[in-house]
Amino acid sequence: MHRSLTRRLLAFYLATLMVIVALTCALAWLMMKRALYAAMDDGLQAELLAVASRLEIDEGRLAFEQAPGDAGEALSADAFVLILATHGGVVFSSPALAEDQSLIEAITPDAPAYTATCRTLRLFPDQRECRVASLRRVVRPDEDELDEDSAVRPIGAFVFVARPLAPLQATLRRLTSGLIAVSAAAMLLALAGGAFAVRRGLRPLQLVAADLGRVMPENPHLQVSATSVPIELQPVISTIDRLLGRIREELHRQRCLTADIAHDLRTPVAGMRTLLDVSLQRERSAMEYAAAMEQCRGALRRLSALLDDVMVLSRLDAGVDEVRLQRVPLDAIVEDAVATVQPMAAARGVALRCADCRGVELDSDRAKVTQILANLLSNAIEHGRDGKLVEVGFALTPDRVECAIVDQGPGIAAPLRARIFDRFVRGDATRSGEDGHHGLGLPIALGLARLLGGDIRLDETHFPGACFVVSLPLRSHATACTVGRARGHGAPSETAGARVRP
Amino acid sequence: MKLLLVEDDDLLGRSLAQGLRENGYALDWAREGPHAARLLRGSEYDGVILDWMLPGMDGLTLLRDYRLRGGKTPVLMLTARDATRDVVAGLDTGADDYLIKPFDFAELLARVRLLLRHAYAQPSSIIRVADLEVDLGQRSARRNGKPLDLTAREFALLELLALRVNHVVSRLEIWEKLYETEEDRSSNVVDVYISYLRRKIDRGNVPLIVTRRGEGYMLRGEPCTAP
Repeated sequence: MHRSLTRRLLAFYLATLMVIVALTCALAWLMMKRALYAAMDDGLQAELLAVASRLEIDEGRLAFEQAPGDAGEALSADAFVLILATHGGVVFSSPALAEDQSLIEAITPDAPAYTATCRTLRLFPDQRECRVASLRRVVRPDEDELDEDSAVRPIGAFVFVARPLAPLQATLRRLTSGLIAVSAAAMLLALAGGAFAVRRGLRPLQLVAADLGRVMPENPHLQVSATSVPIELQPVISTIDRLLGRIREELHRQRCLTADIAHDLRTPVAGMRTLLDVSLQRERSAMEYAAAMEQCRGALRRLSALLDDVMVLSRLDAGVDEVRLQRVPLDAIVEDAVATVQPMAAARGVALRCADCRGVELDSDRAKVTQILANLLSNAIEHGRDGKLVEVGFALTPDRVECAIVDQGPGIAAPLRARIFDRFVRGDATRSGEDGHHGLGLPIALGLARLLGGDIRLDETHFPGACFVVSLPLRSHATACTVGRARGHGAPSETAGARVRP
Repeated sequence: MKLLLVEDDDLLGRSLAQGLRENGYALDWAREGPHAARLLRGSEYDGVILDWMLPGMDGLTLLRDYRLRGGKTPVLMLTARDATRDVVAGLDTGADDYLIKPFDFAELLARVRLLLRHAYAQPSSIIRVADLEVDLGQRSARRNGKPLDLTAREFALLELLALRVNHVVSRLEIWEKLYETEEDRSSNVVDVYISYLRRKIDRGNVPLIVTRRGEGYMLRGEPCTAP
């Protein structure tokens, strides 16, 4: 079963209410019981005192003067009276008690106190509960009798008045069932009211859900005013809003990227299409066709270079690029990278000069480091001045190697520096796609460097010309067995989110 | 008709230039913004095909400057930007038409013809002058229903005259618009081509091409008796 907030709230509410009602009822019942007992005890004690006041000494013996009229007033119909002399002997006993001597023993388990006390005893053969009031009293002879016979001495007496508890218990039972009925009705009412209140209370959730349902996937924006949302929901709303904000940013980035890719695809495609349209306008010589095909091939090469770069970036974005670590000498990597860009350097008359890095070995992915260096080198050759020098220098720290690629060109314009590692950012904003240059070389190099646990930075102090510094770990145990995620868009590499490769 | 093509992409520019020249247009090709601006200041064009993204100065700035200086030549923007706001920006800045890359070359030709017709206030691509019929789309002409065999340059000259029927076109303008700026040409080439055209159009018919001495040439709508 799904967890239901309504059911939970209702259960908590009802449980609390039940405890309160039960405690209230118990308290009411107990107070009622005490009041009833107190009333009964008051009655019993009054009767007891009335009986005791009628004790007198008659001819040296205790006598209970039972005036029919008085007794009828003083004693209720269901009361039993027992009067014992302290030295033994029953002075008076109600007829029901007199029948059974054991009752007398049961009613006098210990000597009563001089003040009236009440307790509950089980009496009679049916063991019915009775309230018994008891009193010890010393009965003195009357003044006139003292005159006549001074030998008469005061006599102690125990007086008991009992009354069955059944009527009181019946009242208590009625009270109990009444309380239970009222409680049940109250609980039912509370259930209905609680369900209504909970539903009303949770309605903002539905409203928020409806608002969320109206969020457009293409432009996720939450249309909720802060004041219309209850305080309890505001953390949820603001979290969702922040999440949507991040999604919007990512969407915008992806859209820009798609637009940039589409833009860069369009020009070569338009060129090829126009070339083919024009070529097919009329009959041409084989040489003209061959020239057209050659041009088409060149354009296709540029296109596939762009697609390759886009694929590399999307693999970096998706974090599916695998790092194949091996121990490689740095000079071999530099040699590979230089060989890759040599034709381009030769075409532009740029000389490449590399500092000596023999003996430096690093645990890294040879192909990726080569691509990083080749990208930076071709960048330097392209943006440096034709016929000048591109230099590669090295610096070693205990755990890293830094490799600086320096050209003698005009350098990076100040407004461009912050975005130089962004995708489709070019030194010359209007030139596109020439020589496979799409503004993807630097983001790819940065993404790869971060994947390998390194980084690339632009040395802004270097002037003139541009100086890019690649920093790579020499012995990267942290990334030695990981396939990291690296985002080439200015975000720090997320080694924490790396997956462990067996 | 003379066009200015402003396009920095080598392949697209070369293909467009070849295609447009093969369709009888004289063409100057600028690869950079500043060069295009210089050409626009120095020569008279019938139309401009302008790329948006250019090195040196982008197409929109170039167009804005040109319109601010009072340039009236129709401009066709050619660009890889397809967002509506870009189209609107281009048109509002003063472009007469907008074509998004990649495009069909035949469509580009049709749009260029449309631009030229609008510039010369011709509603149709078939212009009739008396019994002469000039089909700008097919690039063919007939007189009395008989097809005329014209070379590309002869047709270009006829097109120039037909688009401004009953108006004098100066020799200098013909000279400017028939040839590309960098092309070698002699000063009497206009008269030579006019005589070729007369031979093909007016021979055995009522002459339509009229010489205005000291002014230029004109294609006259009604039949005329004097040369």
